Amino acid sequence: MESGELVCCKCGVPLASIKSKLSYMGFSASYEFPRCPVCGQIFISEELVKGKMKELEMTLEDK
Amino acid sequence: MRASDIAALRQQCTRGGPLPCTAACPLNVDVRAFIEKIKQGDIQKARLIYERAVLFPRIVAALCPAPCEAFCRSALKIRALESFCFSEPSGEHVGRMPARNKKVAVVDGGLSGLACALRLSEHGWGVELFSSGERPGGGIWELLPQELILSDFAVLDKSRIVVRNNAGCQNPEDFDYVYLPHEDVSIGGIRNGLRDAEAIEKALKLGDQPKFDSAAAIAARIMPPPEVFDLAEATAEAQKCRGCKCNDCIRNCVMMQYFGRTPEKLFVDVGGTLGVVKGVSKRIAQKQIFSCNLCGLCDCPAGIDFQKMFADSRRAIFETGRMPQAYHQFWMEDMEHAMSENAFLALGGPAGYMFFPGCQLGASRPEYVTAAYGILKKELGEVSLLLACCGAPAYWAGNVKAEQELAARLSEVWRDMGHPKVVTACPSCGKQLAKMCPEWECVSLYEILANSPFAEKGQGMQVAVFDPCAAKEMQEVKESVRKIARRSGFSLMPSPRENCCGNGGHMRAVAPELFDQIAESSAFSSKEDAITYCVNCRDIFASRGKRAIHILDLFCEGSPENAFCRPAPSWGERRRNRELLKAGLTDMPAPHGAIKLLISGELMAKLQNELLTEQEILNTIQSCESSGDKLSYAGSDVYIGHMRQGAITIWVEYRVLDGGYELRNAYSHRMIIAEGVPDGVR
Repeated sequence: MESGELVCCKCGVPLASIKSKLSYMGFSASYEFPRCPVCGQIFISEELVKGKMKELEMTLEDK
Repeated sequence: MRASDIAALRQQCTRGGPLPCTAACPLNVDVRAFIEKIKQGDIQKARLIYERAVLFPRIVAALCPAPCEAFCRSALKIRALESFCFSEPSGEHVGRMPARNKKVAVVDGGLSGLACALRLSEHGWGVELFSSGERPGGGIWELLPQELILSDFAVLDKSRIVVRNNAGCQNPEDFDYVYLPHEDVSIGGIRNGLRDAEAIEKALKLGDQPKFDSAAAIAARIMPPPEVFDLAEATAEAQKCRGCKCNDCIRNCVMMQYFGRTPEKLFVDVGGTLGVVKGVSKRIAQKQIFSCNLCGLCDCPAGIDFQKMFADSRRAIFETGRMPQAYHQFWMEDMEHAMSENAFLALGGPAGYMFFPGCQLGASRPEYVTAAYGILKKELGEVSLLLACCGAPAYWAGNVKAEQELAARLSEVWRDMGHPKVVTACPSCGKQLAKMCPEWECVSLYEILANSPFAEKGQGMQVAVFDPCAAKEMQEVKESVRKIARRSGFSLMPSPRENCCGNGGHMRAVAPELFDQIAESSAFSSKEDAITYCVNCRDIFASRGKRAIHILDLFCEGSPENAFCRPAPSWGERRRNRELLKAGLTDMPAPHGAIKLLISGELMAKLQNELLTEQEILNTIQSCESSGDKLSYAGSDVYIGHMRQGAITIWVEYRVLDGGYELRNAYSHRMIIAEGVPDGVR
């Protein structure tokens, strides 16, 4: 994976940490994610997807 | 399926107790051990096991209604085996433990008293048997031939029992225990006697006073003679015994082992999951319910059908709408593809036979279907062809509506084709169609191919046939495949027990680590190269580096060596193969070349594992490109973007090439992102 600042190609601005709503299996919660401060385009890293997000998904599937 | 149904299943579980055949036996014969000895040809040992339990084997064989047979999963003729063993007088087994210093008066000359006296005597207690008649046995002399009774009673002469005929016990004070009569002329009497003997022993050892129960006697009745076996027939019959063990479900089920669940715990957890109370309890067995591969190999001796329990539980959860769609999306989409305009095909008109190769056979290698179809037409004359999905993914998902709709669509074709016999290639299709389209008469492709000419390709090579889980009850199919392999010149080594390759039941999406474990253990369950007749097994084995061919490779062009080395096709290739197959059989144009998408081998393996298709990747990239919704690191030509597709969000990292794309990475998640401009952003 590349390093450095992640930029929204549409708006040409760097992403900033912004609260974002995620939902699954009838539950929802807000977390801070890198997002474009103009259009809201989000980035979720593979590390997060395979780690905490996977855990949360599995917990919610059993609720 | 409700929590209460699970509780009922729990009652059936015999774990921790005797097997159902033994539990059903009034005399607690260890039926499995008895049959096992006959299986081994050791009739002497078999007789000993039986004789020790029943004491009077020929009398019991004549009277016993064999309730064990009703509980035998192999439908063995157990009574006939008993009769075979005792067609000649018994071995006159006499147990002789060292003499003890206490004496029992048995004042009962009937079967009950005789059994009690004999067992006590075997265990070393001094016994005097008082019979009111001229000889012990009571009413049994009126029921059975004298010769038969005498041969069983010969054991009394060899025992240490003192028999006093025409006598009562005049001096009870001389004895440590006095056993009074039961008036049963039946094996119920023997049972009572044995039970009483145990109770008396306990009393004698502990100084306790036993209480006699009055268990209902089993009515004395001579049973009609059973089938008469000779040694070869008896041994062949015994071979049918599965040798049930009450931990078979755990032993045979990698899922139970993986989650560390005993059946007792599963019943509790599945019941709790179906009766979940929102906010109070959890769907504690959700993962187990949805990761069962529905292979049916659990083989419970008590007849508990775990496969049905899990399938019905899925249906119940599906109906509540609480089933995670991501568990089944991939396979339901695959089913949709097989039933789509691009792949579905009903070819030909009314005919005696219709070939139903299943949607995965042509997806793996289109030639499997065309070669087999060509042979079928030569062998059977007019044969129609139906390229479709058998509906297994809908069954796996618990989606009854989708299963019914598919059944209706397939049945309409079948009716249009003139109610033909259906030739199936895939054992899983055979199993699914038997459930879903019970009016179809199905025959396995391999039973037909076993008698048709084909090239010799084996050249003495040693291989092992791998039987897929769905073929468990398909004995003729198993034999046909072996016949084909042998005739083709392969040398067959012992096969591993039939097993699941992990493909069934959507396990991959629910418990990928469990899938890995099952796939790996099945692929390498034999050290020899494998011949399979389930193409999913073949491709999963190939994906793990196991050399494996499908039996239909022997009917296709090319050397077996090439077939053994053929890699498993990717998800995208599978769908494209289906389309190519249809195009080859019709005037439909072949699918045009997709936009170039470069994917490294390592990354392709990752996509395979994560159930991501090349088409989904391309959709995501194209969506990013057309909308401009993509990210990149400053100065890099790698773009990052995502797209929600059904129940998953797919992320791609890619480069734009001339006329296509290069995929650098991809991953997916199930959680839904609230897209658009979030609150607080200008």
